[in-house]
Amino acid sequence: MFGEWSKPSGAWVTKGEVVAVAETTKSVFDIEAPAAGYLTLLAAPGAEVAIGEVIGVLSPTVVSLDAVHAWLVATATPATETTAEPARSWTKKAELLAERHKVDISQVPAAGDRVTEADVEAYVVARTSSQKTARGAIQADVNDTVDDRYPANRAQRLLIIGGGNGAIQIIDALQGVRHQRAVAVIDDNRAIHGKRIAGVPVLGAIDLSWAVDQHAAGLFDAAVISISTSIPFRERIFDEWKSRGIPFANVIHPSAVVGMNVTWGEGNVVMALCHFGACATVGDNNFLSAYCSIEHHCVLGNHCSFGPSVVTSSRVRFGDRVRCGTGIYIEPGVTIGADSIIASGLAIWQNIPERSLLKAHLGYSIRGLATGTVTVERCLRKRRHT
Amino acid sequence: MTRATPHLTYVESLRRALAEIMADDPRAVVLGEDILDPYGGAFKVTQGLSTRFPERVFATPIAEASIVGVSVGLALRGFHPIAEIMFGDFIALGADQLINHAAKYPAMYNGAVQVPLVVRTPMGGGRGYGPTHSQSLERLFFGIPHLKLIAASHLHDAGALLKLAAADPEPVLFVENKLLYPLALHLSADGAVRSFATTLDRFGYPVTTATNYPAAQIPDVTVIAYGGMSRLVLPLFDEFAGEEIRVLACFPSCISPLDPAPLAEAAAASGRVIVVEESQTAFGWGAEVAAQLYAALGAQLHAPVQRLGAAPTVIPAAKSLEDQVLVSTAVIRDAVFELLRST
Amino acid sequence: MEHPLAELFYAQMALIRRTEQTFFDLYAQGQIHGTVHTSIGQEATAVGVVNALDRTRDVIFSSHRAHGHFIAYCDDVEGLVAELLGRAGGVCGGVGGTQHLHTGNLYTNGVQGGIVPNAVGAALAEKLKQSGAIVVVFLGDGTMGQGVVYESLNLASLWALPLLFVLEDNQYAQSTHKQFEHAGNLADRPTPFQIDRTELTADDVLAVHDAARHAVATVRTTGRPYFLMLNTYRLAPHSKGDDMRSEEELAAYRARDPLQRLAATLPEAKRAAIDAAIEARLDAAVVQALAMPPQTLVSFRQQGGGWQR
Ligand SMILES: Cc1ncc(C[n+]2csc(CCOP(=O)(O)OP(=O)(O)O)c2C)c(N)n1
Ligand SMILES: [Mg+2]
Repeated sequence: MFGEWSKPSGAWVTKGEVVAVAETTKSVFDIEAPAAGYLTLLAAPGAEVAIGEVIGVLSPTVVSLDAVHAWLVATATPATETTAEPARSWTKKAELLAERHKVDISQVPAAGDRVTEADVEAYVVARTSSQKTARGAIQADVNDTVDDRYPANRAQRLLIIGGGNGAIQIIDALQGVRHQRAVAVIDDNRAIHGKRIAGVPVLGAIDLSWAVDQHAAGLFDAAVISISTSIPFRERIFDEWKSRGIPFANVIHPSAVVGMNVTWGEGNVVMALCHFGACATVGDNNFLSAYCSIEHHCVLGNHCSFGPSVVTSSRVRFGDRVRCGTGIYIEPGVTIGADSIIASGLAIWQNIPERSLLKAHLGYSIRGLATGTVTVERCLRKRRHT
Repeated sequence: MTRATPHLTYVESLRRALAEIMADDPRAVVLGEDILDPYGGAFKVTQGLSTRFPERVFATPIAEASIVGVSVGLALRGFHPIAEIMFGDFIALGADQLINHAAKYPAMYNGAVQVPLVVRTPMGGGRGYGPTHSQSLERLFFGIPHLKLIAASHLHDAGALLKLAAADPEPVLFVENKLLYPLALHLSADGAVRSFATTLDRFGYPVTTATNYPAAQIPDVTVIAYGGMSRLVLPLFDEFAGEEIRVLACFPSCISPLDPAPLAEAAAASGRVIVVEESQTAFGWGAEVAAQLYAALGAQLHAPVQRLGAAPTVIPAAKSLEDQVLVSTAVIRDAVFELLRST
Repeated sequence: MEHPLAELFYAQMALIRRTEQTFFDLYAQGQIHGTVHTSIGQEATAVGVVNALDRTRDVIFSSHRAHGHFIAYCDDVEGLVAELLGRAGGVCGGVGGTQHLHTGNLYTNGVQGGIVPNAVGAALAEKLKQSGAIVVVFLGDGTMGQGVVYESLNLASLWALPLLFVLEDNQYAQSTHKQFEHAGNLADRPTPFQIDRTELTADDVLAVHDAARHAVATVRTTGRPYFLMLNTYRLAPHSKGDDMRSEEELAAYRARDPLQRLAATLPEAKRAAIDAAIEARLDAAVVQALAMPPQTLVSFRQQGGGWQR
């Protein structure tokens, strides 16, 4: 209860001066002026006042009661309305992660008192696997000490399409690569489903909609096609998957030598000891076996497949879907038209029109050597016998 | 660098260091406006000094060009002057002496002389002093050859840093910050600071890195800043920890010339960088840091380096305006969220 | 009748004159990169004042027109020639060039007025060291327009510093006569700061020297600043070929050339011997400097200009 004023309205009071007495249920105490100023009395003596209620005002000049009331109204803090964000029951990090995965965060259950990034991750994984219960999901590295949510903090995770010899070659090439790793293989051959290729699980058939979900869940970053034998297959998969937003990765064996200003498309597979001269241009989705040398300023189209040791001189241009055998030499400036097929062992010195099939006429014969000379066959045979 | 006693304030740390420098080095002299006791300087950094060393503490007239110019002459002739410019804004009047005299003599006389001079001055706003008493004019001196700019944050042992500057054979502009003066130094992993490390840059000056997460983890974002910005960045540590956002703050003390290596290391840890400076960003320190980081890291950066600083205008006196013209904790917070959202 | 110092002063003044004329020649030949400001006609101020100093301890600050002060102080014509020719063997390794010289206790800088507070600091240093040294700062009439000069007059007097201001009033700042730059009388400038002064015409080096000895002794004994104003005249252009003054005006001053005035007091044979020695010495200095390699970036970086990148 408010007691009484010890100063009249309009009086000048100095800081610390006692201006009133008040009593609570327990005690009676003095009220001191918190600052100097002219006093305007608001509370009547003996009135009940709540804690925090304004009982008087100190002003630098003598002011009217109206002015005091106007000032009180103007400075009153509205009861609830503030500019602060509404209370969240999740962390900002969880919110950002949910945004990234297009998850409604209010649907994510919290393990503790707030939804955390781990909760969102678990939710995303569970959602993906429940959508496709029939087959496995790529294992998320939730316990990885490396931050797995942001691509640049860890190796790019690759999904390998095709589980044959090409897949093994790709996995082998990745052994020496620090910025990429294979997380799964898919193949239409049911016999290998559930098995592993050099430690990488084969999760099922080549299924684009499954892959789209896995990618959206952040479980792999890019795909790569390991099949080199069928160019139409490579092209079809590449185009379909690209149209659904799946990125393709270039897998380049660490022993390859890449010169300056080489321009890369995506989805290329480059095997050991290949060479790309300065300013060469590589399109999309090509497969180059070991020892290929694409000299400086050459241009490679898309969806080509080369055997080992395709060696070009400078400024050679390849159209799309060119297939080369093994051991081919191409002279400078030659253009190889799209959809051409070039047999092993040829040296090419002229432009090749589109859809050409180049056969080799070079032949050789094998005959046994005269007695007294040790043949290779015999040598081998001898060793096996001993 | 010796660890300061906990809870020593920034101003106290500087004050003690000055006294220790004077006691240890008979060639040290201090000069500036209004620095004599009992007043002891506008920001009290020199308090007590003139009582202890009356013959080596000089109160000057209001003549900033001469405060620096006289110091240059003293330094050329074998003394180790530590000059105070009352407000950093007035260093503009001493610019000719810093640029064309202090920083030039050693090189233009082919190494035959040294100018071991420290000019201390408080920069920064936030106190309502208005357009001519609130700037961060160290920006005028970035990149001046042979002039070192040393900025003490409260994540540095400010006094130890002043001693390093005083021992430097090159002239140093020592940038203090008005709002840091009353703050306790924060020099270890405690409270919201979960890891705290100091390395030396190639000029021998400390670079402090502090994180709000345990050392083994990887940060989400790297904040690079200097001097008074520690006052704005540190309060985010606790809040960000609650939001699971890991922040690594990197505060170099030698801000020009700049050793990019420790900054690049801090930047590479997250790949996302925000540079905060109190001055306007255009043509500023953040631009230099960004250029150095791009050169060092290239594609290791996941997002363009963000620069935060004051609006490109004068610093107003009115609180409502000053708060918005200057960079704030809220602005840094929003920038971090935005950066994490986009990358 | 010959003054005992006349021969010495003639040798110094003639050396300054011929060195600076040689710089004009080298400039015309394209050997000097940049500019030169000569003190041709003003040699009496440099020689008269510098010879009044104690070269073992006193300190000199000067600015762009300092060849005379430099030669009178240290006689190192060889180092100066090499410096202007940009050679590593120059007194500042070719980095400073004509306007930025340092040797011993002499310091010059090319920013008008900026050296004056430096001289105040140096005077404070010598006072604190109780070395007994004094500091001399040379400044031109044009430089009296700079604010720091007045800050420095104030401080030197306020703190009672051993600092001698020598104003070499050659009437011009570059192309502008002092009447278009200064209100009032330059000789009155020190008075409100309670700094004593002497003003004299600097045609007679021996008179300059007497005045300078008096000024130096006053500074040294009182420990207070002093202001010596020397009215002189520059007979050559401000730097190279940028002279706007009338031929009559120049002719009038050529007739009072302090070097000729002093020469007239010496026997012809003595003068001729001095002149011949100077020619031989300068020829050798130029030949020697031109034979030196130009300054290299590597040694520049190893010495003063080092940087890390
Ligand atoms: C701060 C500054 N302003 C302008 C110049 C360009 N400048 C060089 S010498 C000179 C004239 C100086 O006149 P004065 O002081 O009379 O000396 P004098 O050349 O007559 O010896 C000027 C304007 C300069 N070097 N420094
Ligand atoms: Mg002049």
